[in-house]
Amino acid sequence: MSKVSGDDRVQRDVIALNENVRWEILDMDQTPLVLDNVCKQLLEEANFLAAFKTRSVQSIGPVRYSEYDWFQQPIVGYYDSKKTFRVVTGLFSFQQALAHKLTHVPVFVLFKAPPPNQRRRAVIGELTRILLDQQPKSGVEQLRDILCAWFKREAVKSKNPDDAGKDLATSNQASNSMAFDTNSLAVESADKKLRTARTSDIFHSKEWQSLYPGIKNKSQFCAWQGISSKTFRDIHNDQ
Amino acid sequence: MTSDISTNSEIKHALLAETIKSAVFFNKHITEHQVIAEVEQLLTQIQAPEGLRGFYYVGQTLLQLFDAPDSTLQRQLEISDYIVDALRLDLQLVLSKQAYNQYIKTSIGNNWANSNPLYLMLFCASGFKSAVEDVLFMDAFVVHAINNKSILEDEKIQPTKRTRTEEVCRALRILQDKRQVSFNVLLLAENITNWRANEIAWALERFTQQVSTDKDTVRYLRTLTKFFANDWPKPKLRGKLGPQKKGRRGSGKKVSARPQKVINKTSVTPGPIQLDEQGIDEHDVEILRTHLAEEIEEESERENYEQNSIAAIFDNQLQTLGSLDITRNLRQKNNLNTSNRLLLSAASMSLLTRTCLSRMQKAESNEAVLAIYCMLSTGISLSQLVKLHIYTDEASAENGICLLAGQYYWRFKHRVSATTPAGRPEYFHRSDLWVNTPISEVLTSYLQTHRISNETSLFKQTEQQLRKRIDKLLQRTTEKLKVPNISISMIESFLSRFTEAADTVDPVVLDFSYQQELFSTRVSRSYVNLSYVQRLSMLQKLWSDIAAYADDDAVSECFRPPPPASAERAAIDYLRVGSRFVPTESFCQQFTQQLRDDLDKTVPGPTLKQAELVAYHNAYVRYTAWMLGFGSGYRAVCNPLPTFASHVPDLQLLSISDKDDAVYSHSRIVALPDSLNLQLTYLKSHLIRLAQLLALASPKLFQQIRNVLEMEQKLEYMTNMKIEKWFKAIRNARDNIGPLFYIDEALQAQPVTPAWLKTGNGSFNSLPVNMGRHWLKTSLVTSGVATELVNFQMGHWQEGQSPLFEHSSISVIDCIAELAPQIEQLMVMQGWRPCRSALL
Repeated sequence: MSKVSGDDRVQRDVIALNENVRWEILDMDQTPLVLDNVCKQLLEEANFLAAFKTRSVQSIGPVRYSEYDWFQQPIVGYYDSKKTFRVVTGLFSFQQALAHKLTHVPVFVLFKAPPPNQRRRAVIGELTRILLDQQPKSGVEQLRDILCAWFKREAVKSKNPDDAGKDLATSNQASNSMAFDTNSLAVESADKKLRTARTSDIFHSKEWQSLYPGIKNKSQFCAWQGISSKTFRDIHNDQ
Repeated sequence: MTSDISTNSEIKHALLAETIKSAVFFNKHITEHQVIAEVEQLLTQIQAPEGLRGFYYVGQTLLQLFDAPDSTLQRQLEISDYIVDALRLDLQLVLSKQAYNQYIKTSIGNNWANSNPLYLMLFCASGFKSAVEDVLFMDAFVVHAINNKSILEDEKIQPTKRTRTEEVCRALRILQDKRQVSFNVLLLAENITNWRANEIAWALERFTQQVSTDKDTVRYLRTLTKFFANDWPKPKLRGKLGPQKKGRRGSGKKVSARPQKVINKTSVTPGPIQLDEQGIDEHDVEILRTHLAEEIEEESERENYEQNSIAAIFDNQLQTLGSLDITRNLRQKNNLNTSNRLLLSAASMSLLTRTCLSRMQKAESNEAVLAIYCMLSTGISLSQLVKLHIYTDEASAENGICLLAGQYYWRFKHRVSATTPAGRPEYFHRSDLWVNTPISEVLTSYLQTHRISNETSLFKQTEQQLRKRIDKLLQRTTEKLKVPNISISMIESFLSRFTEAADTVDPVVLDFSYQQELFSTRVSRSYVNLSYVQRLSMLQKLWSDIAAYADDDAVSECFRPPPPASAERAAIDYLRVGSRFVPTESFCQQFTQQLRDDLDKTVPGPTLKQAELVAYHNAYVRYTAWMLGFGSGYRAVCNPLPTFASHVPDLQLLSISDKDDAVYSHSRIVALPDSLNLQLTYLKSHLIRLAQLLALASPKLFQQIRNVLEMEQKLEYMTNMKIEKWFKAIRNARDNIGPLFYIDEALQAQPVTPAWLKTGNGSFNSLPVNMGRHWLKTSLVTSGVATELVNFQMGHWQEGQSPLFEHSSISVIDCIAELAPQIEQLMVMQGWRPCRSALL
């Protein structure tokens, strides 16, 4: 926890929170998950989802694979007097759980409901962190470059396995007959492949598909991101 | 009897003697017993009957098989050469005359088909096709039949009525018959190299699948396929052994119509596929019903367990069918126009016109001609006509002819079908209590010249007298000219029947103008509102159509009401008659403007406050729901548009089931104008975004919207029963939401109801929710769309006209292609346009 406040009592409360917590797998059918009142109030004032670029227009189904979310952005909450689970933070994971129609969700359960000001601090902290700290630079060029850098190799692999194999085979032949260094040649051809890779291949790659099964191709991606598919250029030229 | 027995064994004895002779000639060491045993074996194998009747032919067939190149019969059956040689001998020399007659007898023996099927087959073989392949085929058949005797005669696979051996031999006999044209071994030959049983089975199967022949042939081919593959199913238990079927479904099982035997088609030349001179395969023209053929059992008599049981009286299913028949009877009774459609011919129409024109211009009054004229020009029946009066007092409360400002009018009281909507009547077209229609020039001049005094009846004579005189007049005229007879009822109903037949002008105009009670206008009269000018121009159009029908311009000149003078148009156009729920054009424009303003006003700010979001959604749904009412003619029901599955955006159609009954007889498919079509697709993406935004605040709402959106895919996996149950629950539901729902203060989704639509339209309150439907009907009728199409859109059809019924030949796609642009034009004029959701 960062030291946001110098107040000792608050600090003590926060530490107490960290100690009195357990990991539990909730059955969403039996235990309804409801937003905490403080959260709800904040949402009613401003729907944070409106601040994001991504929007589903074509289908209501989930877009991305969410199983890692429980560790990365855990849902934290507590049981109220009616045994309803009140979600305090982890709103994005909560949303994913709803979108995926999950029945069992791992959550952190606080033994005791934190005081309202703590809850407010927690949720505002989460929302502002995403809104301010972690807000990516919104240049389409940069977005494309980063995606290409991360997914390029996978994209090439999935692009045309036959072609790649053929290329390698011919290069091997050549190296055998001419007694070349096979390794360097293979790398060279792979580099060539990398250079000719198209950004749209990213979305066909297995890795991308496993993470974002709801985004099948470039046009869906651009619609979802709310960007023009023309600015998200196809030929990637990072020399 | 003794001689019979002796001849019976004589052939066999002779055969044995000859065989022994030739055997000894070949091989001196062979014993007589060996030879006899061998011959006996052969005779048993070919299932020869006692007495070897007609053995000559069988022997010849066997020889033909033995002699054929590539024949395996002799080798397979291990038949010695001396037997073959013995068969070659003609036994005529050694046999007595009586025995010889038996030997070459050409008729079939008693019960051979059953007990000696193979022998019978060999006996008949001279009548078979005799190409090399045919011989080889038969060769393979005989070998297979003898070698697989044990399989073929297995008790388990025998059907009840005959043996399998009998079946296969019969199949071969019929298929290989010279006269059989639908099957030829030559067609198989290319798939077969060495005539093994499994090879033949495979080739036969392929042939059955690829070449479509008649069902009998297919049946025989199947039998042979099973035979060669040694793949016999156990016969189905039939009759007493099996349990009696309870359900009465599937009447297709008892098809008693037997197909004609192919074997009788001797005239057709054999060959693979015969094309006629137009290049059509004969079998393509005939519809094959192979699914029926499989169930056919020969000589199926009705056994007592198949007869109708008394329990049928209490059978629920039958009772349901009976009750459906009542509906059918009602339909027939409701359908008034099926029998009465006789129309005056063009010539008769022309004749009547001439008669009226010539007689009415004469000086003396002629009530009979006057009556004919009135009946023809207005369609009012004679019995109604004699009750009419002529008067000048506008306050008079009687139907008749009225003289107003020097012009005669037909004047009738409008029969009001609904009360004026409460609230603001100025938004709606008014409806006058009395309807005036100007009288034609011919009648006006007649009335003027004869000065029929005011305040009197139109006719002096009684109905009886009048009827007599008209009959006499018509009879005289038609007899003189030797033309078909014309009756009073034909004259009376000409106008209404013609309107209905021509389908260019809505018959509602006759209802309004002349108070004609027509079956076809019983619905539209409460939906349509016509102005004076519209009504007159419709009548003008009707008469010009009749003139075109009669091929005589005088017809229209004679009967039509005078067109309104352009100067007085403005003065009289406020005269309207009909439905009081038809909104005026200016009101429609204000109304759509108001709805759109509301929509724009509620566009949420960048923070998307929940209250703003809900308000915007409600405004959006309100706009869409009203638009749906105007564009598709949806009735004022709860939860209109129960599911997106009923909307097909690509075809611009929507299926509607409002005010429906148990058998969906009022369900209809309607055309959607482009703007509405687009609006519904916008609504879909709006809902997707809305669900996303409200998911955290109300997971339940998210789930509900998700159900609505994903219903289309779910339906694909549901059975028809389930779909129907679901549909009945969601259609016009008050507690179940479809795509059109609003969100209340407690963040609960509620289906759109007429009550909700009525209120909250800004400055317009308590509007009748069905005004869209009234507007659509009126606009379509007055803009000259064909009546049939209007009724298609509104669902105002009479029994027998329904475009979705069994024998309808209407093309929904064509209707939509014609209707949608016209509605679109009307919608655009009112200011409706598709609005993309601001949430996107």
